[in-house]
Amino acid sequence: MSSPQPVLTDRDVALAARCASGDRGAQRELFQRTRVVVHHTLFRILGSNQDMEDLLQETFLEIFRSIGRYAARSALTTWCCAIASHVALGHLRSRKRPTVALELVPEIAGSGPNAERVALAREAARRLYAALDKIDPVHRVAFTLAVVDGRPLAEVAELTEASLSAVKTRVWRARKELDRLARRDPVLSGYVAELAGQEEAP
Amino acid sequence: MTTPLGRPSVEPLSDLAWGRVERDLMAALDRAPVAAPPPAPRRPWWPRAAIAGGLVAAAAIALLALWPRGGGPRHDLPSRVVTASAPTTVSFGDAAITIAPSSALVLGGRQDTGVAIVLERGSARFAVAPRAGRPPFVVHAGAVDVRVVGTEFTVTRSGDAARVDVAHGVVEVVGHGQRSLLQAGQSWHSDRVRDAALRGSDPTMQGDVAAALLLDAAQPAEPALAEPAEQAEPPPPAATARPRPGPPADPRAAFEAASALEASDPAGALRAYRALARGTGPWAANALYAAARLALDREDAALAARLARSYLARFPGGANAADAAAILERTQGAPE
Repeated sequence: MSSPQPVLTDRDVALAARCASGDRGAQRELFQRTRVVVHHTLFRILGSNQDMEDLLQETFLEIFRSIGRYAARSALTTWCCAIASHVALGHLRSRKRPTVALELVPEIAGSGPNAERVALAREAARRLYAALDKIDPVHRVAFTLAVVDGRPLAEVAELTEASLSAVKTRVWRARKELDRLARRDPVLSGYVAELAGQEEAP
Repeated sequence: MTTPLGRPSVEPLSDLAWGRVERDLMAALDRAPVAAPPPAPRRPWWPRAAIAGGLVAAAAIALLALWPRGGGPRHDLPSRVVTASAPTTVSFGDAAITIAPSSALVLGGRQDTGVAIVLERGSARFAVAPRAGRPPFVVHAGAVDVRVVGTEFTVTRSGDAARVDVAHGVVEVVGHGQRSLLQAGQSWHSDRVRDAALRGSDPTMQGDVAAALLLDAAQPAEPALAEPAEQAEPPPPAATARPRPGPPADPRAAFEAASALEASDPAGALRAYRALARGTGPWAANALYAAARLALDREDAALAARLARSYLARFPGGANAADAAAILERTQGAPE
């Protein structure tokens, strides 16, 4: 995630308190403030906008149900993303069989010097999420947040309510599983290596 | 793979989809208000049985110890009070609240840390002990916050608008980014402040009328209800060349005011958005995109395209860049 990590402010605490008291204006404000990052988190984990409207609604309902328990240990945005991660994990677990997100990125007829690269990136992303459908959802959530989205491991630990060492293990296991699935797929193996390289870069 | 492919892109949701999500979410909240207390964790029965006797004794001791200085109930969880066709009066800590018919409010907070009351709809009259040395007592009515200094006052809410009438003492009102201190006999209405703020940020209108509409803390109390708008000086006659007003003091409030105006006066909302978009920062970006969207809604494709182009040029990485590009795509063929 390229944006800096949000910082906890008094405004977060006040907004959460107003939401908890049922103030509809505050609930709308929180929705408007966090909808983009919540969608970003869900999309990164799931890889498509399939069922996204239902998942966004489920996430925000859960946010408003739980807002009374917001303990101001992290920024409100981060707290909302943690709930989104939890909802995404539940969605992955409840899916009867994995679906390959064929519409992962909308097809746009392209031309010009970048067209081939864009098409290749789209295909690589499609294969990545198809492979992610085959691995443990818990490992997938950690991997997509840390490697695909590039969030710091400490933040991933916060979002998934896990220890730092648990997150490291999950990411490592996801990488192993993906390497195994990509043995005969140079596009996927190269893409996973590239993303992992970005994650490891300072 | 020689050329780096970068991270997979995040496909944005359309405005239409976001509109559906927000509408369905708010409808779901209306059907089943949330903010439920956390469920009690399940525990084995024997530790509870073992400590039950001890708890009973401790509770009795604590009750005896706290009773003389209790001074009224303490409230940890919000309580909601709804009136039907008759008014009702409730006591909440050191406040007496008379709730008008067809009203609803949520009582929250605690006497020892501060009371927060949300007026959901209707009207309520509050008689509150002076707050000097006491924790704060705040009433939220939509986007308006009323902080009690020590007084008797009435708050009336209609949709997102709120009116405050002070009978005795002093209250502080915060709404649309403006802070006012009201004394006995004075009134405040959020719609007037909002309209004034809008006119103040619109270059086609006279300067900043909002400041003139707001009450001054030093203003003497009026014997009867006095509307701030009626006390304002009439604007000076129009000059042939006026300086362009600067950005509003609270761009967020100006944006929300423009947004509230969309349904009743879309042309005014568009003017307000465009005025706000002349500034800088995230609210200018939001306003510029909202202006493009509203222009498209009003079937002014040429203006929508111009505003969307301007958005993409000024805020290429903005939160609504994809939506602005979609507007541009939908208005293909519109003049540059």
